[in-house]
Amino acid sequence: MPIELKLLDDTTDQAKAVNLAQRLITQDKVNFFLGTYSTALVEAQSTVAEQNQIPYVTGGGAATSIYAKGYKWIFGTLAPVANLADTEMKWIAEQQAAGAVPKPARIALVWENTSHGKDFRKGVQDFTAAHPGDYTVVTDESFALDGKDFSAILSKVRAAKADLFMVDAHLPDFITMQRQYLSSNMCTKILTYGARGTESDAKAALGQTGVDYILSAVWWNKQLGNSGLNKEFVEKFTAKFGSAPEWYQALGYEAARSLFTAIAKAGSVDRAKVREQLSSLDMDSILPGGKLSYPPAKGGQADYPFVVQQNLPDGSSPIIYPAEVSTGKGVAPNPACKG
Amino acid sequence: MAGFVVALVLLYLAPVVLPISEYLHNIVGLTFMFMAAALAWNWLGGFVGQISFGHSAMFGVGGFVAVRVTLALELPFLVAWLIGGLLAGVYALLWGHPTLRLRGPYFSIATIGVGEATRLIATYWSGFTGGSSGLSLPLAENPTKYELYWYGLYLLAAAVAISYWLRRSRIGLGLLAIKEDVEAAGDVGVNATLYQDVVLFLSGTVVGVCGGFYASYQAFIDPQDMFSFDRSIGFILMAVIGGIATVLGPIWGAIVFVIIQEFLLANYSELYLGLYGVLLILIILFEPQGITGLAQRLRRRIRRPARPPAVAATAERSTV
Repeated sequence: MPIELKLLDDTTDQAKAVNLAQRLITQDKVNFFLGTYSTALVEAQSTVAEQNQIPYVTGGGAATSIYAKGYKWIFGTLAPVANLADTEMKWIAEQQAAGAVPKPARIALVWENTSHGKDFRKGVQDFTAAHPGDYTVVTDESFALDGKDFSAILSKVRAAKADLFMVDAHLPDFITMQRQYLSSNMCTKILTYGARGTESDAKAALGQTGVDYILSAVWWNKQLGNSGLNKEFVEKFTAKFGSAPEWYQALGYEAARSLFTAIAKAGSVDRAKVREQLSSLDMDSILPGGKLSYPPAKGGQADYPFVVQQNLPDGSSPIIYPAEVSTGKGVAPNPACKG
Repeated sequence: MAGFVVALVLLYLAPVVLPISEYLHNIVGLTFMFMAAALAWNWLGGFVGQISFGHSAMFGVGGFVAVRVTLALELPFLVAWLIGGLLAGVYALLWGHPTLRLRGPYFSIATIGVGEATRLIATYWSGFTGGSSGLSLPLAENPTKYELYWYGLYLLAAAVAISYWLRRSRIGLGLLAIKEDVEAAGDVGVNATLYQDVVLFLSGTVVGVCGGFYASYQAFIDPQDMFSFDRSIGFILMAVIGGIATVLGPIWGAIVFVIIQEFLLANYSELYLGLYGVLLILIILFEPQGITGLAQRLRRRIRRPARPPAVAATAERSTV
């Protein structure tokens, strides 16, 4: 079946994202719709897909609120952000058990004021509640998306003498906050910005030492496998674009691949039939766990484990957790902190 | 006035009679809303001469109040828009009553502050606005984009009627006097504070209703979009392109604004902002009255009778 891809740029603008979705559906008469990136935009576009009853598969929206509205036409390849926080906390708990992190550990919890950030906060809170006495949340602050100045929040974190600085941020906010964190000579025993940290853009902006020892949990990493689907994806991507893929591209790839699989199984481009196939999909995947499905009980949001990485001074970012897929050993506490 | 009524009837019937695509139908419906909002901005910015860079504040307040009212009280969307609009009008008075004492650039600077402060408050007031995550409207109770075409038309009709009324009424004359010289207007008995408050309230209310319409159209709103500075600039651009301080100019400005946006949006997503800038510079330099001024000039040129050569020569000599 020949496939034509119409690619439009919404410039991360919500109104444009909606207008373009509408244009694709009502004017260009596309059969299916692969979504945009970031929670707010996916949330906005999903209403257009639902109103027009067109299958909408996205590799860019992780917040559970997107999938909790009872919409029937949206499918997301990103597992919930709460899982991300939970996976990071499990690695931190191992370090605590090994004596590398104090007990109780003082957590500075800083999250963007979006569904994405709220999910991260919930993940940390649920974990600390399940481990009484092991952790104390000493700072619990939110910030608006696309912030320019985080100095007030960073001052609070410094004053609270936090051991763990746990932030959930999108890439631009991560870079801005980390730059201000470094310029104010802060250093915490463990530092994470949720899924951010390993991006080449961040290294380019902050330098290698600027991102050293940052912990991140991601939906995919090329180190996950050097065989089968993963190998095929990494090789094809590298040959086409000249650089190795990051998780952003991998999730987009899986979003498209799952849609094509559903179309093939439906044997037609009938929207309702393809939607049914997406609902009952259970396919081999490059994602952690090796399977991808869109469980209706979770509103069509995929659910699978995360992998934790840490940036090391040699420029590598090995997977350090869980042990069965790890490619290196994590370091805690941050050796760069003096005293 | 007859032309206005005929245009309304034609626009009302157009989707039923003409084979308009669904996409065009929806975009025209949204354009009606932009026209109404630009007209409402023009009452303050054009008629009174107080250029506001903060009208997105009323647009956002109207939109969020309408959504909250719909979600909490399950009121019909029209009632929700109206409540949103009225509260937006009250909000406009709240900051506008003291700041309207300022004139010219001082007032404009104050409105920038109001717009940005409102955006930040709305972003952090997540209990009401949903924060950066925004709010969704239940699709089942929301009017479809197809239906919104006609509601947009009603909104435009109301805004045009208010524009005519403001221009031709005693208040309109008072506003002209205030625009020329607020102190002199006071000397001849014009209550500048009251007149400006009335216009600001009307402007804020209609822009707030437009915010409610936009919320229904999008079925999802978030503070970054609703309260954005770009949105305030958009209202100004529409009025300036169409003809600031003219009765119907902002309508033509809104059409140009949407056409540029829609034609360039898909393939040259950043180019259209640059084009607005170029357009703005050209208008300010060569035609401050915008499209309306250009149309009037062309009309005068067409209607001007050809002068006999002898008369023309005499006239030329007399000017030397």
